[in-house]
Amino acid sequence: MMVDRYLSLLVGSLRSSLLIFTILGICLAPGLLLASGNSTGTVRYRKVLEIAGSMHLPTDVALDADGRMYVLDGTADLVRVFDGLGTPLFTLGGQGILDQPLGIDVSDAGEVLVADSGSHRVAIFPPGERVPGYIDIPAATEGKVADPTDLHYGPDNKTVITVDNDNHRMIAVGRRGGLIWSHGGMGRNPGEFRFPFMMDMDRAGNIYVVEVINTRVQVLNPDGTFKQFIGEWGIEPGQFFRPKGIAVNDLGEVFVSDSYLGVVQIFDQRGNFLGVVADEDGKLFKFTTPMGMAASEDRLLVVEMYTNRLLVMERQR
Amino acid sequence: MRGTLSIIIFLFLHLLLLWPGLLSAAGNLTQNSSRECAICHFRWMDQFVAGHGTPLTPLETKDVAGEEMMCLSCHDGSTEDSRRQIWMHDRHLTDMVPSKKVKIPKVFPLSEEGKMVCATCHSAHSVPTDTSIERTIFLRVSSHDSQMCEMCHTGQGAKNFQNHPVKMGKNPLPEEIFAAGGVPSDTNVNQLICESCHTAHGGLDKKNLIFAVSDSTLCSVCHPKKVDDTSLSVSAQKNHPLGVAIKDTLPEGEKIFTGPGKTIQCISCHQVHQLEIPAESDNTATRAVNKILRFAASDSSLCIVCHADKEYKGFAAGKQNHPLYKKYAPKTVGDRLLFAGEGQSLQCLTCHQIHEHRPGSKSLVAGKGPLCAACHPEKQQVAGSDHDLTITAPTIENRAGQSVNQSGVCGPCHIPHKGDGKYLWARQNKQSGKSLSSYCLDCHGKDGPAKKKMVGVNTHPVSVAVEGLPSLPLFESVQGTDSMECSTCHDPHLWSSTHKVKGQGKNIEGDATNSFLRKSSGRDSDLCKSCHSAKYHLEGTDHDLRVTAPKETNINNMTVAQSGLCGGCHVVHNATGQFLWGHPAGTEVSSPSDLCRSCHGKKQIAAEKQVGAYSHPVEVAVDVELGKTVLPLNRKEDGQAVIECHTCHDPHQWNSQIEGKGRGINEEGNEDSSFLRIANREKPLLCKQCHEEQTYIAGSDHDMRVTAPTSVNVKNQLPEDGSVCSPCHAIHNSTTERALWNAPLTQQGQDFMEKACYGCHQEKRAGKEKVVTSGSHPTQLYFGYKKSYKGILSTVRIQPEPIPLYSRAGIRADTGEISCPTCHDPHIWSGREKKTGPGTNSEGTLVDSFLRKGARSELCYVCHGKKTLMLYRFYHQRAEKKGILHDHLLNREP
Repeated sequence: MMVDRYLSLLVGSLRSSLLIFTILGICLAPGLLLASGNSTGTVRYRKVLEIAGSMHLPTDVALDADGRMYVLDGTADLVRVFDGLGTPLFTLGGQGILDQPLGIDVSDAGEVLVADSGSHRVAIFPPGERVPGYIDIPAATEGKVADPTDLHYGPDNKTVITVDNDNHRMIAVGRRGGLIWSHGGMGRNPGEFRFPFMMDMDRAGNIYVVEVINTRVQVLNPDGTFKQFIGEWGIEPGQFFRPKGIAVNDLGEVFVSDSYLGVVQIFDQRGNFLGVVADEDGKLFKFTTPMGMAASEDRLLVVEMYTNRLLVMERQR
Repeated sequence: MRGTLSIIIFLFLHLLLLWPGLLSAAGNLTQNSSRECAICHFRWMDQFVAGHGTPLTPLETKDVAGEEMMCLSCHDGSTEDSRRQIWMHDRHLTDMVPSKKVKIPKVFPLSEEGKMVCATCHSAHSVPTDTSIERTIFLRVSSHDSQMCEMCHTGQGAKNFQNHPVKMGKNPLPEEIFAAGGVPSDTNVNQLICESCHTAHGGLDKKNLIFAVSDSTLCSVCHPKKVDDTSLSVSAQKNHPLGVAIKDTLPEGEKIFTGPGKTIQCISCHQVHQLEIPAESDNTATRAVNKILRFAASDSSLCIVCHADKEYKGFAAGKQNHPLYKKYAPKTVGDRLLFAGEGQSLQCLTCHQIHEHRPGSKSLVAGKGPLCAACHPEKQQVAGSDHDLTITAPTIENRAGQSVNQSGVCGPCHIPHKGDGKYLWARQNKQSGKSLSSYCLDCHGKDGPAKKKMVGVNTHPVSVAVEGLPSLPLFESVQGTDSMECSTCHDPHLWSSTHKVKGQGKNIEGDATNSFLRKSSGRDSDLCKSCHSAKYHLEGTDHDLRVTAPKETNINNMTVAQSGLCGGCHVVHNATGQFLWGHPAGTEVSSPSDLCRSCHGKKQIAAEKQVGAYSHPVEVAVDVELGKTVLPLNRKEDGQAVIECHTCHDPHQWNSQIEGKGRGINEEGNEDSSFLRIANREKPLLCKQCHEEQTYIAGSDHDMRVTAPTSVNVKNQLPEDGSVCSPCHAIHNSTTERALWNAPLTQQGQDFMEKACYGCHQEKRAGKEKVVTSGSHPTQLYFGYKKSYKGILSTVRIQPEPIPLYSRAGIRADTGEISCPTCHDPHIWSGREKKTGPGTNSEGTLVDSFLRKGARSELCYVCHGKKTLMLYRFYHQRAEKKGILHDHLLNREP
C-alpha cells in the first residue's frame, strides 16, 4: 500500500510538475529564445557619410559634444578630427606622441582620451591642446606590461577606466596616475576576461567591455565588479563570433560590432537582443571589419578597419 | 508531501532542462573544444556543419582558418596588434597561386584553391621550434638560419645559382640591419641569411625588404663604399652615379629596373637572385665581374644597355667610340691587371671601374695617361713635344669641354667616346669625315691652335690614293682606298724618329730631322725616298747641290746639308709654287721652266748651263698629236699641252740609261746624259718623240756620221760627239733662231734655207761633192708667163702636204718662195718611202736625193711641163747649162 501510495504520489507530483513546467515553459520560452539570440529583428539605418582616403587600419571613433568626429588612425599614431560633414579639421598626436593607439574617447568637457597601446599608457589631450598628458598604466602583477586598448573616464571624471588587453583585466587609475582598482584575470567566469578589447559606459556608470575570445560583452558595475553578460558565442542574431567595438547611446542601447561577421547588433542594457543594423530596406548591413563605434540616439559611427574608412549611419524611424 | 515532491521534481527538471540554457544565455563559459576550434575553423560552426547559414552569415563551405581575414580578426589589436608588422606594410604574398619559381613542400599547405594563405606558413597548432618565440611561434617548421625560406625559394639561396651570397661572412653585419627588423643568423651572427634583408611581414616593398631597395638604401647599408651620397656632384662620386634619371633614348623594349623618377639604382645593374646570365666561365675575372648582374659585364652587354651610344660599332664618319670586343693581350697599369673578357677581349671594364674609382675620373681604372699608355705606349712619347698641348696650347678645350689639364696628354686630341672618326678626334673638326689629314689641318689651319705651323697653299698633296708604299703607313680613305695623309710622313706622337723619347717639354722649332717626321728628311732624305725613290738618281749628279752648290740655301734659308738632298729645290710645305719649289726663284714663276731658269739663269748657281738666246722652244703649246709622246707635257688648265724643260729633261736622273746615283762630281754631259729623259746620241730617240720624220735622216747622205764623219759643227763638235741631229741643229745655245742651226751658214743664197744648205754644199765643206752651181729659182716668171708662180704653186698639193715655200728668213710660209727645201726634204732620202737611209754614201737619182715625193713629176711639171728635166739640169748642173740653153733656144727636147 505504501508503495502504491508513494507511486500514486509520485505520478501525481509528476503530473503537477509537468503541468507547472509546461505552463512555465510556455510563459518563459520567448524570453529564453530572445536570450539565446534567435530573434531576427533589424534596425534600419541609412549611410549618410563615408570618410576615407587618409587613414590606414583605423580602430576607433569618438564624438564630442559639438558633433566632431575623432577617428583613431593608430598606425599613423594620429587622431584625425573631422566635423560633422566629414571635413578634416586637425590631427592630434603623431610619431613620438602616440604609439599605435587603439581606443579613443572624448569626455563631456572635450578632453580627448587615447589608449596608447604601444607606450602602455593613456594620453589625454586637454581641450584645444596638441600636447597630451600621460598616465602610465601599471603592469600586471605577473610583470607583463599593460596593453591599454580602450578607455573611458569614470563616472566621477576622477578616474580613467582602461581595458588591459594582454593582461585580461580592467583597471581604474587616477587622473594623476595610481591604481584605483583592478579586476579580472584570464578566464571564462564572471569577472574574468579573455582578451577584453573595447569598452563604453552608460549614463549610470556601468562599464561595458567586449571580450574578443570569450565572445561576449561583460557589464561591470562602476566599481568594476561583475554585473552581467550580454551576448554569447555563435553566429545567430544576438551571438558573437568576433565582437570588437561597443557603444552605448543615451537611450541605453548597446551596439556591438562583429568584425568577422561584419555586423553590428543592438541590445538593451539587460542584454536583450533588439536587432541587427540593417539598411533602409531592412536588409542586413554588411560592414567590412567593423571595429570601434560611437552612437547617439540617431547616429551610429562605425570604423571599418580593413577598408580604412568611417561610416556614418543615420537611424531610420 | 505531494506538493513538496512536485516542487522537488519541478526543480530537478528545471535544473536539468533550463539551467544550461540560462547559463549559456548569461555568457558564463566552460571550456568547449568545438568552440575553441571554431574560433578559427569557421566552417565547423554547427550551422554550417548542418548545411545552412544564419541570418547573420551565409553558409561557409571552405576552410578559411588560415586566410587573411581570419588572422586579421585577432591580429587587429584585439588580441595581438600586428597592424604595422603585417597589414601596414608589404608582406609575403598570400591569396595567390605560387609561381613556378618556387617549390612548395607538402609541409606547407595551400588553400583548397591552391593559393598561398597565412596558414601555409603558420599554424596555431605548431609548437615553438626555437628558443625565441617571436621568431618561431605558429611557424610550421623551424626557420633556423632562414631555412624555411629556402624550402620554397630553392633557387634564391642556393650557392649553385647566381645569387647574393648567403650563409657566409666574417665581418659583423651593420647594426642598422637588425634595428630595421633583420634577423641575425642562429649559427653565426656575422653571416647573411635571407632574413637579414627580407622579412615576411612588415617589408617595405613587394620583395619584403627591411629597407627600400628602389632607392638603393638596403644595398648601401652593407655596401656603403659602393654607394655615394647622391647629393654630391657626379664628378665627386666614387661609384657609378645613382639617382640620376635614366636616358629616354634607351632602345625600345629594353627593360631597365629603375628607382623613383626612373633613376638609376643598384637594382638597375644588379639582380640579387636567380640571374639568368651564365654563372660558369673558365675565366676567373669573368666570373667575378658577372656576379649578381642582370646582364654580363664581362662582355659589356650590361653597360651597353644604357650606354649604347658608347658602343663600338666599327669606324665610319661621325661620332665613334673606342673599339670593344677586340682581342687584346691584358695589360697592367701599375700593379693592376686590366680586365680582359672572354677570349682575351677588350671590354668596358678594361678601362672602367664601376665602383670605388677616383672621383672625377670618369670611372676609369687608372689615370688617363697611364691607362692609355697601357695599350698605346708608343703614343706616350708625345708628352713634352709640341703636340703636348699642355705646353703649346694649354687653354684649349676638347669637344667634351675638358681642358687640357682635365683630359690629360691624349685627351686634347682623342676621346674614347663620341670622338670624330676612326681616330676618335676630340677637336671640333670642321672638315669631319673628309680625310685623316683634315684632323691635322683642324689645328694647323688659320683658326687652329697651331696656325703658326700651317702648310700653305703649295704643299705636298695628301688624301690621295697611293699604291704600294712599303715603308710608310697609308690610311684608309673615305672611299676605302689606301690614301696618303699627313700621318704618312708624320707620326704626330713622336717628335724625333731618331730619338724615340719624350719631347723636351717646351715649344721648339723643328727641322728636317724631327718635326714628327717618321723618318729624317735631312741629310740622306730617307723620308722622301720612301715614295720618290726614282728621284734619288739625282744623288751625286750635277743637280745634287751638295756637289755643285753646297752653299746655296733654299727659301727656308737652309743649305742642302740642312734640308737634305731634296731640300735644295723642294720644300714640302709652304712652297713657292708648282713642284713644291723651294729654291729662291728671283723672278716671278709662271711656268715650270721658270723653275729651271731660277738656277740656269744669269748669276744663278747654274749660270754656266744656260740655254742661250736661241734654244729649243719651251712654254709653247704643242700639237695634240704630240701628246702621244712619252715625254711629260705641262697640261694647262685650258687643256693645252705645253712643252717645258722637264719635257726633255728629268732633273733627277743624269743618264736615263744608267739607274743609280751620279758620280759625285760636276761633269759635262752629252746627249746620253745631261738629265735627258731618253738617250739621244746613238739614235735620236728623244728628238724622235716629237720630230719622227726628221730622224729618218739617220743613215742617209745627210747623216754626217756616214758622209762626213770628220766634219764639225759651229761648236767644233764632230758628228760622233752628238746625235745625228747635232751636226745641223743645237737644242740650246744655237747660233740662229731658225732651225736652231748648228752648222756653218754661207752668204750664198737668197734665203736662210739656201744659206744653210750652201753652208755644206760648197767646196771644202762636207757637201762639196754635191755643190749646186746655180741653186736659186728665179723669183720672177720667165718665158712669157704672165703671173707669179706663187699663185699657181699655192694650189698644188704634193700629198700629203702642200709644197713648202719659205720666207727669206727661212720660215715656211704660203707666201714664201721656192727654196731648197721646197723640193728637198733634207731628212728623208727618198720621198717615196719614209725610212732611214742605208748607212752608206749613196749616189742619188731622180726619185730620191732627198727629193720630196712628186717633186719632179708634179711640182716642176706644173710650170715647166716637158722642159722640167732640162731646166733642172740648166739650173743645178753648171756644165750642162750651156748645152741645155742651146737646146732650148733651138726648141729641142733635151
